[in-house]
Amino acid sequence: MSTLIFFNFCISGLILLIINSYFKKGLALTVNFFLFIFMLIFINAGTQSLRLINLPVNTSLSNIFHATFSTAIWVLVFGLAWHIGEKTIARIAYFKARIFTLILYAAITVAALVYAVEITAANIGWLGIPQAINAGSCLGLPDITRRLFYFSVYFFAAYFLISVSEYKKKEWKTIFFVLPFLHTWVIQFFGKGYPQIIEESIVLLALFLLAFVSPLRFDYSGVSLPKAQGRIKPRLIELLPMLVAITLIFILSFIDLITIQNPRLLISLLPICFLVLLSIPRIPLIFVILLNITCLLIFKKLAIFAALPVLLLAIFQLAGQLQFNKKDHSTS
Amino acid sequence: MNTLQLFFFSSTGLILLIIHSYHKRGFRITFNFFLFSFIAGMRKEAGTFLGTPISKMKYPTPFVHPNDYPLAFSVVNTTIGWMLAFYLSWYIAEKITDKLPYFKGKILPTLFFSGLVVAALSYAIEATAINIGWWKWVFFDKHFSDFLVGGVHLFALSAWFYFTVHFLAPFLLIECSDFRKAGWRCLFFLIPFLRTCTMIFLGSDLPRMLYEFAFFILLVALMISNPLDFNYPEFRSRIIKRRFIAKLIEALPLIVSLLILLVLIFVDLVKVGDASLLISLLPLVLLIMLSLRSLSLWLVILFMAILGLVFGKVAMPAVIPVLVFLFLSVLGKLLNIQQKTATP
Repeated sequence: MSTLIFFNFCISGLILLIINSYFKKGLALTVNFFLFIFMLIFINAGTQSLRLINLPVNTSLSNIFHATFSTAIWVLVFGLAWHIGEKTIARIAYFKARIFTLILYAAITVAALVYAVEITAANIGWLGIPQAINAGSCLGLPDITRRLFYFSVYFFAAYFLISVSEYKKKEWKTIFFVLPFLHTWVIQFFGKGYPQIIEESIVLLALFLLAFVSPLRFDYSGVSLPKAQGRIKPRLIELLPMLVAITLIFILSFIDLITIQNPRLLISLLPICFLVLLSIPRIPLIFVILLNITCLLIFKKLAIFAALPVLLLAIFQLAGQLQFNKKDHSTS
Repeated sequence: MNTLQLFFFSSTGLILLIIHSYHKRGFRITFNFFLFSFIAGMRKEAGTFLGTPISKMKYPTPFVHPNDYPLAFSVVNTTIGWMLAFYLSWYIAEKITDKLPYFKGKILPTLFFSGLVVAALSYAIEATAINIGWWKWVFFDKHFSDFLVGGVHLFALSAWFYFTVHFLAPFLLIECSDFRKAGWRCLFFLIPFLRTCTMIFLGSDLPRMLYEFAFFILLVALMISNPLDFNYPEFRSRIIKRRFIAKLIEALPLIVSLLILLVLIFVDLVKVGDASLLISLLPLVLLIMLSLRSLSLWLVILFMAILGLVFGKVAMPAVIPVLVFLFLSVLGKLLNIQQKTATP
């Protein structure tokens, strides 16, 4: 599959996500979300730090095209991550609509999507990467997965806290705007070695803690939603992100199986497949856990990445149940 | 004066400006203005001093920091300077446009004059900084260098002008215009984004110059055709009982401007020992004079004419803002007459 076809898919997918967001979250939230993620990623892709491939900067036109290609993919990934994360945590009544739990799940979804795309991209040699320097059939976690995971944590935290939390009415809400820049400044001022590791460890620990204990919830008050008119069916709009996610998985599977002809690469799709399964409310959690255990038995350590989100959700489920029981005891 | 003293001076100036802004514009505007100017300054200076991936690949950093201070300090120090410059330019520009009846309370003329104030400020600061060694540039742009003193080049002035205009434009349009209630107002963030993209993807030389030229034309055209009114968010202003304190707060930006001038004069005369550097202060002096309500315009014009006669072509940078003011003044009168004849 050529780069251009995949690029066209990303643009089409993005349009569908924007339509879904416009009808489900309103104009202001949609414009702000896609505008800010586009600006941040496009500049980072321009300076090659979030580029899907590393090319020498020689011609402006190819530079713009490669950055646009990377941006289209990563913006799509962020849009999907919000939706999948939201649906996943909606399974647990106690954590439903909690901001930090969603940030954690959205970031995990970003990492899972980046992992799947990067492994395929590296093996197909998209945009003319010489095959010799490709990752081959290696399924190791590419560095960009970690970078985009933290990038998404900062971005989602800033966006949610400013736009859809109880702080949105505060005059000082823009203080959260600093969050995405903090990460950059730590690296710029203190270097990429230990300081970055320490900072990322602190962020991860804080995120886990807040995901479990912070009661901060989404506040969509004041958001005016447009009404779907004419032939636009609300049910169809609701399904659009899932349609895009499944098509993406299908395209990547097709490339791995038919174009690259390496079925082993399909393992890289497991994490996102499990996250999509978790986001479908009709599929019981126990079924996903059983499927996950089967994958672990078959693929052993290669399936660990896929097991993490499921295990985490099981823990959240348990924690939610315990909290409910505690509340029941205290009220009775 | 060393860098550390400069840091304390600019920090003090910044605190005074924050106090002024808080009392005059309220918490929301003050908080957002200084927060975003901090982010913009840090982002720019971190790239300038530490180098961005693109600048490391294509261009050397524009100037190097010669002292032994940590780079993080230099970045913060320069950022504070930017915050100070942004607010002062906004204040002085607002006062200047207040003297133009047709353009009073309009966003785009204020934006344009803010850029001019910062360019004037940059000329004064650059001339002193280069000569005392606060920083030094690694290249020199020869264009129009005959019109400038102290080894300052036009690139620095235009960089300060465009950076300020690109910072203030989205801020004023998002926070202080009628658009502030629109759900899509954040689209104005695309203004600085476009400039950054031009520099990243097309280069910092000719494409950037072409972009900036196009932007300048657009700004001037919009300033004349659709100047846009300021619409500030409502805030509960604090009533200060003592009249002296109220007057003092009102005068804080002017005090800071005068202090900057005094410090630069002191450094130029005593530390550097080069009186010709004082010429670099003239554009800023004239802009401050234009912003003073009590000062007659004729006096400013007379002063400008004397400067032109005494200093010749090096007085040109000081003449430009006054000529712009006069042009807008005449244009405003003509447009007013046109409006009056159009409405019977």
